[in-house]
Amino acid sequence: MQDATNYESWGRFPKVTHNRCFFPRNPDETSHFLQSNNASFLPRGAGRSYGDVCLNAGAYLISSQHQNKFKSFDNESGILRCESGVTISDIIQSFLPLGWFPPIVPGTKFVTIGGAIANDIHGKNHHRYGNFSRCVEKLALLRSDGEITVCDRNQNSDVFYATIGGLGLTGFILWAEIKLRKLVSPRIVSESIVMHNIDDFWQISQDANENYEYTVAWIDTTRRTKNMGRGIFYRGNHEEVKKDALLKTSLHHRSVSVPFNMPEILLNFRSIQLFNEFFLLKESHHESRRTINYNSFFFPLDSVHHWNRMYGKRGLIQWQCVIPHSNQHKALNQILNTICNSKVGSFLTVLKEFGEIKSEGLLSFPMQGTTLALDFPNTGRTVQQLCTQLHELVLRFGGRIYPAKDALMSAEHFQQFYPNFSKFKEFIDPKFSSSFYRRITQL
Amino acid sequence: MNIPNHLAVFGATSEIAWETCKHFAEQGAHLYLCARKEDDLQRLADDLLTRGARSVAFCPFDATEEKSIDLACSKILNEFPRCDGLYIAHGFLPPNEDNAIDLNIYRTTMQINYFSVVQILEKFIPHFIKLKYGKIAVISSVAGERGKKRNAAYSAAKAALTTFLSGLRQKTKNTNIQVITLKPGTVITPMTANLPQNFLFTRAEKAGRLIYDSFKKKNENVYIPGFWRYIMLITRIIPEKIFKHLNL
Ligand SMILES: Cc1cc2nc3c(=O)[nH]c(=O)nc-3n(C[C@H](O)[C@H](O)[C@H](O)COP(=O)(O)OP(=O)(O)OC[C@H]3O[C@@H](n4cnc5c(N)ncnc54)[C@H](O)[C@@H]3O)c2cc1C
Ligand SMILES: NC(=O)c1ccc[n+]([C@@H]2O[C@H](COP(=O)([O-])OP(=O)(O)OC[C@H]3O[C@@H](n4cnc5c(N)ncnc54)[C@H](OP(=O)(O)O)[C@@H]3O)[C@@H](O)[C@H]2O)c1
Repeated sequence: MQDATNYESWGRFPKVTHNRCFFPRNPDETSHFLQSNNASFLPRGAGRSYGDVCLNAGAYLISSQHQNKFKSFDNESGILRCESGVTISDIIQSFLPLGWFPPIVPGTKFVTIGGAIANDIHGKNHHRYGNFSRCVEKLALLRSDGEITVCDRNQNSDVFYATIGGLGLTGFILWAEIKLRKLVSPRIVSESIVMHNIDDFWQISQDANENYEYTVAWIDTTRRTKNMGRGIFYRGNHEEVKKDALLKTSLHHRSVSVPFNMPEILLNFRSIQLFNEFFLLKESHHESRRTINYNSFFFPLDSVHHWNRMYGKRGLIQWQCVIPHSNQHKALNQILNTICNSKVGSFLTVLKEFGEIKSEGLLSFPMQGTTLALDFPNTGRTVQQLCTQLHELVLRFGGRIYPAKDALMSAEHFQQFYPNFSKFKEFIDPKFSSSFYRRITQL
Repeated sequence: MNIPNHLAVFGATSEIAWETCKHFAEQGAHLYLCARKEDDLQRLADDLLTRGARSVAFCPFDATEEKSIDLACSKILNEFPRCDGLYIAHGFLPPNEDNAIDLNIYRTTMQINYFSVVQILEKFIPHFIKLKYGKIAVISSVAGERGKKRNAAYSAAKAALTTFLSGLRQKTKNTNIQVITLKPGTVITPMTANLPQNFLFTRAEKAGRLIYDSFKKKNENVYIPGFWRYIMLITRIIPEKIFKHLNL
């Protein structure tokens, strides 16, 4: 049996114990479990969130794992109706061979549709397509009293806008309709450009956002002054040459697994500096323009199962903020300086400009501006202190923190970052809660 | 022999069966599904149609009731006359046994895992003989090869099933009917959700794919995955004197 303590988040921090995880096999069973138990529930997708939005310490999880059936697909409009436990990977496996692809994908294909909606996730094409909810046409929500509400932008729209980005608190999403997009080739024409510092980023990003669907940068946070923000900028577009045969044969992706926790001794500032150095060297030696398979472009980390074990037993702390457009230059300089001075290194630091398409969910994270994502090995107090310092900066510059990647923000901060929270509260199912929810409401 | 194009599936809602059926659906097969609950069958039918199945029909059946099995078989043979493949996947693993023997549980286990299958096959064999063709794949288990204290009832029923199938294979040797005994090791499905998992566990997706592949092959005694053949080879040759002391 997966013992109840085994349900971790992807960051493996915080460590909590659950009472039990239910695995209903169909909507009836789901409704039955919700009605016949009294402790609080939290829906559980693939557990790919980093912090505690997918944890419910001491209480119940209710998994969508066995509710992963397709319901229908319209070959004209590209609208797929599927249950919430279907993953992005399932969709690609079945529909890429027919020339369809999810218009918004995160950095791993192992997330569920329920999870993608509840965190209203974003991808490398935010500046073109907006958040995941933009491809969600409709959804069905099961509440703990057994009632099922079907909602979209016209019908029960208040429930719809609360549930996208609703962090699993408004009920259990049974199914959703996702509008897929047409593709003619499974490959991406990708270009990488070396950036010497953060000023290069601003310049390249602005140009790239006009001509490229996918843009993102990897930066080295261990360098300061004139090297601050050096790194690689990636930009890409779908290949436009028709490749029917490739659509069917490009699905297989070789993978390896990290079998055990890495010793923490390898996770110090110096080794992170070396890693960054090595990464930069390796990437700048590539040909700058390559045509690559979608897996290598979107999901490079998926080829290493359990890569989170590289961060040792104590896990990792992910941190992602967005800073509004008007303040981004000043804010990023201060944030990067603070990080570098703290000597808490981050392995994979990602920088991207979000576009102007408005977020729809009451608690959706993205806003027009620049987003920065970091992952720190959890070395205890120093990281936590750094995060608190960063939260203050983010607040000062009018930005916010991403709940899907947060384990540390305080209730005061959350409620200032998300002023719609008071409106959102009306939609919370009385039997639903999460470790995250309890943290951000403990004023 | 070709892969069946009109497949009837008992226990279609089982995780392993669904994973197998996905491949049939993608190949545009016609499917006829049976399991207990109509709602689940409807969900499954929608899924398989979305994946490309040419047609999907279903009817409910309960393996503990002779009448219900009869009814389902007659219905399929009537409505699905071109049926050229039969896949039996339903099964029942009782909760871990303690020392006392509960005869009722033994009877139910035997009924679901063994008698119901005999009854279904009794109905389908004449059909395949008339058709002069048929592929039959039944999920038994490696558990049927050696009894263990925690699941003696289950092992005994699967042993009966495996033995019956090898008898059936002899009976049908002069026909164009192929009888495949599938012996999965341990697979991650709702059936095993309460057991401690170890590295020998296989994902249902993989088990389903391997079973689909075995519909294409000649082998009639298939371990899922193949390495279980060797594990069972060793397990079988351990003398009972020693085996009884092992805490497996
Ligand atoms: C390698 C990696 C890369 C990532 N890249 C990105 C990225 O580029 N952009 C981005 O936005 N995110 C990214 N993420 C984060 C990830 O996309 C989100 O955390 C996503 O929500 C995880 O989905 P999940 O299925 O694992 O859900 P879980 O983590 O299990 O749950 C997430 C939330 O969804 C809720 N939920 C799940 N199922 C349901 C349901 N059926 N009904 C109601 N609520 C439900 C849960 O209660 C929880 O609040 C990345 C994560 C990893 C590990
Ligand atoms: N999982 C393993 O490790 C493993 C190992 C070896 C062999 N097997 C065998 O593999 C087969 C599939 O099991 P699974 O692992 O995929 O488990 P599963 O998902 O739990 O499926 C069990 C199936 O049996 C059906 N069933 C149970 N009782 C029934 C009854 N009285 N009448 C009709 N159908 C009944 C269920 O149908 P409902 O939907 O109607 O409940 C369900 O379809 C079984 O024969 C099992 O013995 C499994």
